[in-house]
Amino acid sequence: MKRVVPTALAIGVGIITLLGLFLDQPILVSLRFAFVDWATILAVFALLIGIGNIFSVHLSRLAGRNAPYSAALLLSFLAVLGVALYEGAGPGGPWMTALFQYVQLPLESALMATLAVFLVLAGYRALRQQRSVGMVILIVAALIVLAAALPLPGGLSGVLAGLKEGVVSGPAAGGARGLILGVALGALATGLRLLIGVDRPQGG
Amino acid sequence: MDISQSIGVIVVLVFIGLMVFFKLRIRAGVAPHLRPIPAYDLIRRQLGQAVETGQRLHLSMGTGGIGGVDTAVSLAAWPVLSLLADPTTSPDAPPIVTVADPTLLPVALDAVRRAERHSRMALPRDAALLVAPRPLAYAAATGALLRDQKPLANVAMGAFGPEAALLLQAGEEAGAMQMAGSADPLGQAVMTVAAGAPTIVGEEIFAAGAYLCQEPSHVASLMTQDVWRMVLIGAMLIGALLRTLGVA
Repeated sequence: MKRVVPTALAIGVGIITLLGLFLDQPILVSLRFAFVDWATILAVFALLIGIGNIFSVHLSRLAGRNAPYSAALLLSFLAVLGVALYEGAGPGGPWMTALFQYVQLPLESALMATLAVFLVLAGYRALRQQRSVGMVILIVAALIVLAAALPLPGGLSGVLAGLKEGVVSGPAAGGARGLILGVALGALATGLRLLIGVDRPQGG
Repeated sequence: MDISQSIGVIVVLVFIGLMVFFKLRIRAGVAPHLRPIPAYDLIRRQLGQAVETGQRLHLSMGTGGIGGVDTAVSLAAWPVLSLLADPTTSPDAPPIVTVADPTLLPVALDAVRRAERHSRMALPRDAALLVAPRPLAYAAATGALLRDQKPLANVAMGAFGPEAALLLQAGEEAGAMQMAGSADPLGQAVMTVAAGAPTIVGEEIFAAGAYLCQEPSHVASLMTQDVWRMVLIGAMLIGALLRTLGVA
């Protein structure tokens, strides 16, 4: 019973939602929208489970060697929650906006900036570890694209810009489109496997 | 029903029909030859080593969630999760499963609880963990977790963008064997450079069930995808030919 009910529910809801997409029957369309609304409500409950998970994990770590980090996380969480409740304006309030703009955004920008360094290091490491033709092509293409962004003297800038355009609009765009087509087919197959109950991530 | 809806219905019905056909053929003993994908061989080896050494294995399910455009990609790691929860394949050491979207957390928690039931011992609370909802924060915090826990292997499968570099760099520093796959071309490119090991390319991310569990339904769906891929390639070639010949 524990296996059958969740699977039957998932298949039923999936089929009705799919039929609501393909058939213009008002009852099916209404049911589809209702299911999508329910999914949004359930996502909020998932968020509550997530908050509970973060709290439980970091509370259990307060006694360990990483206690300062867990304490900082819990205190930051409570502080932001306190600010949001005090303001009573949700995430769009002035204090909340300021927290996002002056704390979250600069931290993420700093992380993004370090990505470039990590990628250069990773590229060097990859070239040493995997000396394949594909890896050499990838690194050379990346170097061309990077060099084309530099203000180089003479006609070199124009040559590199042309090379970059050739790489980006030719093989790179073609390869990316091929990947996307394959991914779309894979996503369709995964969706249909869920729909016919082969995959049961709902736990049935 | 308009023309696009009709095409949609036909595609879905033919897809399901082909999946059933191939599954029946596999059940009848006509097993196809699957080309080797080094990244999946690597995962199998990592699982085997985790069982032998008793070390933890980290599975990152990416930054996507259920209900959005990344649903299918986010569930691509589900076969790996099932293996971690399976009593015959799961290592004694508890896995670490991290997610960025809370909608994936119940899926991860369910697998961890199944592993807990099978092993009959309480798993640590961080066995399934919601790390942070934003991609960069998730990658940075999971990286810190990897440096701290030093797992045997770091498997990253799901929706990843360029932030995957932070995660894989941390895995490298933690000395973990790495295996990565993303459906996003940018994330894929970053992973190819940063993983330091063979990566899962494009739609191969959806083949985990066929390669790791040898599930007939998964193999059948893989064969169906191959048929559709041939159909699409044929359609594109015919389209290009007609265009070249000046047919509107």
